[in-house]
Amino acid sequence: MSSLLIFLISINALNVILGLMILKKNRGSAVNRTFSAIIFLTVLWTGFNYLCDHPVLPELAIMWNRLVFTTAFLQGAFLFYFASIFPFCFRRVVRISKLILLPLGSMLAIISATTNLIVNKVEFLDWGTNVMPGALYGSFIGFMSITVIGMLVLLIVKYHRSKGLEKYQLKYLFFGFFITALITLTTNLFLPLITGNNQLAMFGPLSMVFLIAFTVYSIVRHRLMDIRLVIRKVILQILLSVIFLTFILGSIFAVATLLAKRIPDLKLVFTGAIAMTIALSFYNPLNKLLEKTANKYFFTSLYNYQATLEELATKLTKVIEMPRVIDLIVDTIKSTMGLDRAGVLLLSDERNANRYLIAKVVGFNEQNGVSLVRDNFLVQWLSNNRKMVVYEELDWMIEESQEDDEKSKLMRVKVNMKKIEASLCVPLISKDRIISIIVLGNKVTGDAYTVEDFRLLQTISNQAVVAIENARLYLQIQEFNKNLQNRVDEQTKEIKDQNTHLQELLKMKSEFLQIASHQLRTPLSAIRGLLSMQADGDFDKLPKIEYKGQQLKMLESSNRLSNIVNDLLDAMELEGGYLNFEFEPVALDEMIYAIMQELQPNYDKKKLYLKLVQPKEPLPKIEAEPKYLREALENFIDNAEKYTNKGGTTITLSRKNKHAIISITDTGIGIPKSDMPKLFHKFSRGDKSSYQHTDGSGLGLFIAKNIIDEHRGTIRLDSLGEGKGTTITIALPLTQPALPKDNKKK
Amino acid sequence: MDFKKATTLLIEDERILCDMYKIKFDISGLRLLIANGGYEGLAMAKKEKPDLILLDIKMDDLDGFEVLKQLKADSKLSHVPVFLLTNMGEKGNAEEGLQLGAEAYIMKSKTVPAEIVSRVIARLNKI
Repeated sequence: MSSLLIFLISINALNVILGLMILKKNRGSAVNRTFSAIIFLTVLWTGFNYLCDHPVLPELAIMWNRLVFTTAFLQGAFLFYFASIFPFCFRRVVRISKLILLPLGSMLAIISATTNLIVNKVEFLDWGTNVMPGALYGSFIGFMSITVIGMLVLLIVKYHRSKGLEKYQLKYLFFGFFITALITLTTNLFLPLITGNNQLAMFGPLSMVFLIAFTVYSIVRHRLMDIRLVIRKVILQILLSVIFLTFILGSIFAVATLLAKRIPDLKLVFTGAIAMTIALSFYNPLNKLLEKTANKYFFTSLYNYQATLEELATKLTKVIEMPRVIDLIVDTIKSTMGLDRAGVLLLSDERNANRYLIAKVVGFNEQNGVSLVRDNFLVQWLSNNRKMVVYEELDWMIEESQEDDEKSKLMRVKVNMKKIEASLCVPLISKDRIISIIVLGNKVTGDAYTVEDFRLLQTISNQAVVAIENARLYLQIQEFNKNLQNRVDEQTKEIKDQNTHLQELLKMKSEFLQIASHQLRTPLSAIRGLLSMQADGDFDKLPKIEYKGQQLKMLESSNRLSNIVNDLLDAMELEGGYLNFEFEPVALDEMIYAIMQELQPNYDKKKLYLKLVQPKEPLPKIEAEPKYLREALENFIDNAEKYTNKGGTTITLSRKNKHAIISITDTGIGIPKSDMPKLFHKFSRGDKSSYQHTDGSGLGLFIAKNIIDEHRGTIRLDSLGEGKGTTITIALPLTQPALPKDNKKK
Repeated sequence: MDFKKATTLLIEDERILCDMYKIKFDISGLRLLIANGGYEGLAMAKKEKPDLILLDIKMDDLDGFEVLKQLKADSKLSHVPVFLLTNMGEKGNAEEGLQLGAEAYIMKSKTVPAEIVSRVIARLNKI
């Protein structure tokens, strides 16, 4: 076997591996497929080239030669196509390549393989076979020049247009292609053309080593077609093989020459060494396979646990709601370990580390579970120790413990665990506190927990802590959002209500202004009109008695104006708190009699009665501000008359505990329920009243109410409805609290 | 038209003012009829066919605007000029009154009786 053949075989073996790996990495990618095709064609081309010069049967020599050209045509077409699509497409070039060069190359390849148009004959020379060109040999030269040079040009253009990683990939790929193409074109195309023989054609295939080297380098360093990892593995494997081979050979030779003192049979040694190296390369996969199989039969759990952990981790990342997180944890643990019972307790009160709620229990007696979540010793113990508690281990822990106190505590834990039928308790600790406890029962098979089980539980609990913490936070955020929404709703409503109230006030104010301005202007226009007429001398022509009458009217109008102005000012002062209240003992009945006397003429005019009903036991004097109280009461009694057309008014005095009660009952138009709440507001009058008595300023009741308020009294309005009369009940305290002088309301 | 032969109707429920205007109109040689309230005013207008109407707005029984609407709706009275004579603020009210067909909006507190008489005479002269 010649060294050339060995070299060619190694190159081609590497080539095949490379082609297969690239294809396997991404079978769908046109780039990978095309590159693999080029590699396989190159392998074939190299093989045919060798067979040309070393034909086993001389009559086949012409066929090998023709096949060399066939593969060369296809290589050319594919190289160009590859350059057009890698690493990005030049659309037009791709189209040319697909529509012209690939079909043309394939056609020429077929022609070359089946006819004598390219390779006419071969002549046998001492170094091998020489090609006698056929009629279309020129097409080979043309096609190969165009495709190979075109490919190199495309790679250069693309190199300039690309950036980063692609640039590096293109650079090395270009060097590989360039050197290989340069050598191959020289030895296999131009030299035969010039010299007339293709003696040096064998160097073409040899130059492939450059293409492979650069491609591999590009793959390893610059992620070309992204099979770095595989390549790395293969290189490591080869290195390992070489080291082993050297070591084996070295030891054989050393042993043979130093001990046996003779040179060993080289063939046997090489064969043995190569066989050993091949066997070694199977070490890793075989080892893994055996390990897996062994685990399957000897440690059932171990095999499942890996998968379980991965699965749980994946699932946990997808859920955020607490119930689903808990479901996942409980179900995973229970089913993987084959347990009869499993449950999770959650910290229910952030401030109390011993308060837990059952999040989920399966297979447990819930009543026992409930006893666990109350301030239970076991929970406390877990909180303090923060370690997994195993029921089976408690016995020897009790035996080993030195202190009696510790012993009794462990005993209690044991009792507690037995009570709730738990074999294992795992506290889940986050940021130095327990947020949850996993409680487990026994294995269905009756087996004991193994170290593997504990390791799995530890890992699961670490994942569970993160998941539960996340779910907690999520819950808190949701809660926060809900609260926030409620607060916003509440405040919006408040603002709306206030707004409505303000609008009502505004409406009342504008109504008041209308009424007040009218009320002020009417007496004013009478006074001014009458005075102007007097000035004009209009009254001079009137009889004396009529003149006097007009003067009285001026006075009447002035009084009216003055009343209204005073009302307005009173209201303003009351509202601003500027009135000075000086309390003194007042006999209520006397005050009421005086008011009645004053108002009697008005009542008489409308033929209404006005009477006072005294209590059986006379009322004591009350502490009051006589001027203002009289004003308020007069207002009520006057109002009663104004809104009554038939019947009359009854005033009743009585005493209730420390209050004097004055009830003023009329038989008037009454007050509709809807008017009642706003009656004591400033500027307000019942709707019905506005057309009846427009004299009032609309401030009477407001002023009266404020005066009663200043006396710390209360007013109640009762009316059975429209047309059914009204009762005003005023309660006044008999005494006023003594106030220091300077603390008095200003 | 000779204002001395014309008849003016005052629709007004404020007794003091009615008396005051009556004296002034009498002295000025004008014939003034007085209606105490909206309903009475409408009835008198139909019966007496006045040449000019002075109309108060705020009245307890029937609002001046309502009276005005009915006057303008009555084919026999719609041509009679109406002066609104009121103490209601001008804002909004004057506009509404003029829109309903009143010719003038007179504020009682800002206009002494003599002025009213001269405005009435001026208007009657145009008829």
